[in-house]
Amino acid sequence: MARVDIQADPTNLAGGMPLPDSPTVAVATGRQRLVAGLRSLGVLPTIGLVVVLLLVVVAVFAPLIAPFDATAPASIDTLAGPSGAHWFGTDMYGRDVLSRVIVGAQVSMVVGFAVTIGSLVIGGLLGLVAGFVGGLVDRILGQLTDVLLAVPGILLAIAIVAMLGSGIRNVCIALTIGQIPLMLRVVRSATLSISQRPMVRAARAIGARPSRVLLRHIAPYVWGTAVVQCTFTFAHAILYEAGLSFLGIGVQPPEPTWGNMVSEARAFIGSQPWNAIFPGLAIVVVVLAINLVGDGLRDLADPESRGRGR
Amino acid sequence: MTNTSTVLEVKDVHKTYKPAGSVVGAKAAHVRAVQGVSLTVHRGQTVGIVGESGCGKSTLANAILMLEPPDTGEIVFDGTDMTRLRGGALRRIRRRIQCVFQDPYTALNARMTIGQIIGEPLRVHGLAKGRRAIKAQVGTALSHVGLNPRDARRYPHELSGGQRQRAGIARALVVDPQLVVLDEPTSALDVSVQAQILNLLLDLQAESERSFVFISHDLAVVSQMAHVAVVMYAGRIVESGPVEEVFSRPRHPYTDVLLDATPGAGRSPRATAAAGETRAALDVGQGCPFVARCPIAQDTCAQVAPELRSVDATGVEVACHFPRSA
Repeated sequence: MARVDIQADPTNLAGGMPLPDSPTVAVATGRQRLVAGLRSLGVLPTIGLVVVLLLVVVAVFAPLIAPFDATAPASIDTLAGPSGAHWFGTDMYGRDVLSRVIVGAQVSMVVGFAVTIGSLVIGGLLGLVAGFVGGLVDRILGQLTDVLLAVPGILLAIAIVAMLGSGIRNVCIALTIGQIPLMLRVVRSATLSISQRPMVRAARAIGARPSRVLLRHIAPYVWGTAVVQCTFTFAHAILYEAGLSFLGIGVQPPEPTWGNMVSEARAFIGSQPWNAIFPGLAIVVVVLAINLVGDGLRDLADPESRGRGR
Repeated sequence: MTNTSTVLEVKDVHKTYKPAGSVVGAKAAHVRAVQGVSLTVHRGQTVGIVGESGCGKSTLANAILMLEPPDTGEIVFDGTDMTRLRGGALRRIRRRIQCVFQDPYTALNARMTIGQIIGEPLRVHGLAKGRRAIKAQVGTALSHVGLNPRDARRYPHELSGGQRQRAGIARALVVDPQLVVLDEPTSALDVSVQAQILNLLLDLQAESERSFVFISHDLAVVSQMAHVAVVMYAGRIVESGPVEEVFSRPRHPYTDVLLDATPGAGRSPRATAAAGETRAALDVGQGCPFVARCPIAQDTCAQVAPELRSVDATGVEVACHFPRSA
């Protein structure tokens, strides 16, 4: 066999030569990387991110921040309008609405994080398995998903809370069950499409175990999609928790949540609207902020963006 | 042809794909990607598989690699029928059959460094213990394929196409396989880089007893690389034999057409190349799959499919009722 000399271009030997040593790229400092990350995220998602982070801080330090006791009735001053002492006014038991909104953030954040983590772990793992294994496993999980998705979310949550009883833990369980199918579907379809890549064939061809192929070659690529779905799960969870508390089957008074505050304020909505407006506004702002973050992350999730030296 | 130097024997392999969404039992047009293919690869030999796209050559590669096991037939590697292996036994034998893929852009995990990618087969098969040992072997593999051991720290997107393909070859060779399946290893590369990669492959083979299955649609490339040429059409082998014989004196009219259509294969392209596409992929009925495009077809050709048979003493086998005599 003769050596191949098909149009060997002596000026183009880049394919054969070892690259010269890469210029030492200065390791970006934490702050530079943060700025670069936020810049690629965009303006609105960054605002959303700041709002969400602020809320997390507020929730964590709620007892320190809240100017008044959120649960103890103070009958002196009921249903007062916003004032210097009570920025958001007081409710029918004379409790400071601002303090209640601040403490209520705790419930929203706890439910949001618990449901998101729960559905990510369970739905994400099941989705990976369904998409990777396929066959009977996939079909059974698909049918279960369809059944759960056929029931309107709030009805499903009501039914489960009705079975388990109210309280924050059961609300989390009910909402997680409702969110798992959505996460499962998203992760499954991402897994399916990534499994088709030659990279995954290559990993199988070298003799890697299925678990290694899944965790090392597929999961990292599914992760971005799953994180985006997480933001929507978070927003859903907060909305549904508010809905359940509004209906009186979520977190029980006097423990304040945005949902049961709106519910209690319903009777006075004509005369004292701030009682309903401020917790309602809190729900809108946080859900909007989370969705903005989700949209920004979704734009970033384009897997190729990593390859462009971001 | 079976003897002690046989590395791989493919015996009567069939693979049919059901069209997506077809109902079980419905007589939809099944795609018979590979129909009764048999071939043998000896130690130190390169078998080149050629044919136009859709002829089943990649399906055959996937079958040999057991990535898409065949429906029927045997794939005997070093005395073991791989179609009977499952799980761990199959993974262990995979160390000895490695693959280089067509597109080096998508065959390497973009989130792993070159060092991690090439070290992975070593880790998977427990061939090197410890970070240091793996690093050393990866470095050797990199210099072996003409890359700098320091490239181990780079990510695939930092390399050129040719360098990536070198990394892909290093990944295949790092575990010292007996057989390497090369699935169009150069068709995604620039021509000048192609030549370098082909020369690298020739060098790598010259220094060892390794066997190659080289899949390509490019006859010029196969004629440079292979000892044995296997011409596929419509999921079947239509002609096979020593590469000089097959390409200098094609017996099968399809080989003739292929050669005519290939500039640089020693002929000037003729305008008479048989018109038409492979209709093969779908059902071909009972006759010769090439009948519709064949310039010398007779009545029998539409009725009886020709068997692959030896026609002379040169070792060439051809599936044609009217092979051109040598």
